[in-house]
Amino acid sequence: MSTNARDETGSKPEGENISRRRFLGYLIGGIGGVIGAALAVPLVGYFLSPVWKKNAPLLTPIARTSDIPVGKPTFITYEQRIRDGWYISTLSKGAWIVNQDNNRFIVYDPKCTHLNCPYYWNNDRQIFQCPCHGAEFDINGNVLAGPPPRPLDRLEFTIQEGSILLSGKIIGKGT
Amino acid sequence: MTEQQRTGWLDERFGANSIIGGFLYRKVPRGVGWWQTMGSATLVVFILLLVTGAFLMFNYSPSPDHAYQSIEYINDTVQFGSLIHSIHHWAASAMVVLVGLHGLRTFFMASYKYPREVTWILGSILFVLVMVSSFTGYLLPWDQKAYWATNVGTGIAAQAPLIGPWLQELLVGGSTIGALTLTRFFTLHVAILPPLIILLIGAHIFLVVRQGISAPPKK
Repeated sequence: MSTNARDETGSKPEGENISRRRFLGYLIGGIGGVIGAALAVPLVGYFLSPVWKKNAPLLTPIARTSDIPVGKPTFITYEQRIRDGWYISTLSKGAWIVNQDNNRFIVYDPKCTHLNCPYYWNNDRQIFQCPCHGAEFDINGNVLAGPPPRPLDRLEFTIQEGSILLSGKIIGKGT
Repeated sequence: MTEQQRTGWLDERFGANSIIGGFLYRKVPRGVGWWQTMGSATLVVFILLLVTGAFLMFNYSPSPDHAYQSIEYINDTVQFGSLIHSIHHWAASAMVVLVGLHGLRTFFMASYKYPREVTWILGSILFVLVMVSSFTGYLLPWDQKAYWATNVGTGIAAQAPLIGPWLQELLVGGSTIGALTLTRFFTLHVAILPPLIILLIGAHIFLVVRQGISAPPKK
């Protein structure tokens, strides 16, 4: 085998001949495309950010677990902090807290599931009563009487170091 | 596909090839090198600034109560937010350096002389506009550095003879740096200066293409 390539009778390279100018044109276009894509990906991601990047909800402390007597629903009011991007607003709200046995708690949204009237705890009859249309719920939120279509709505909460923290999310809505 | 086929449709309608050709295939004098790329580099960085700046505006709030929080939100929460913000930040610094080099090159190679005086004058105005963009953009994050830098900057303006205090009040938009200063700087930074710069860059580049790059001086 000869070391001199010119001695070999090789086949001509296949495909279209590309001029130097054309090749450089493609090269520049290619580099430009890569740079453009490298910039487009973050920009598109930035624009689509609201779709998949959610803010962690702000937890609002509403009560100490030790302040809620067992078996007696307690009404509390609190300022719910709501995060909206860089903006934090507050909303005055209330909730009924039920201490079942010092370990298990329920936090109820204080609005009747019928037409959003505020209900109250009737201590004599041991039920929640709504003054608007006579709805009655037991301490577990189940409908005993009246027009409500579903049990009382509950609020999502966690307990950290003896403090009840609300995320602002309602669970059981519409179920 | 040949070049002709690719651009044929546009070429047939408004002579696209001669426009593109006139822009790309220009005679370049001997001895032209890296120093002559500073203008193009400035243009690229400026385009980067326009694009990233526009995207930053999606989440920026030019009010003293929320400016800093909205920047924090961009950096910490928005997808690629810190990247876009960083590109804007560093491109701004790079643009000042590049226009400086571009201007020095033009000066030391005597490219500003006949027949390119108009290009030089436009470039000088552009330099001032870039500096004002830099200064106004620096306030927008509304952190301690931004606040005190603007305090110093507008304080310097106040030292001008006769019109100084009046000039400071005009810049600040009132007697102290606050909400009005922020909206003032923001509007200048995003709505007044960029269109002006784009217009002048257009004329500047038109002249460069029309007159050709100046030959470097003989050693």
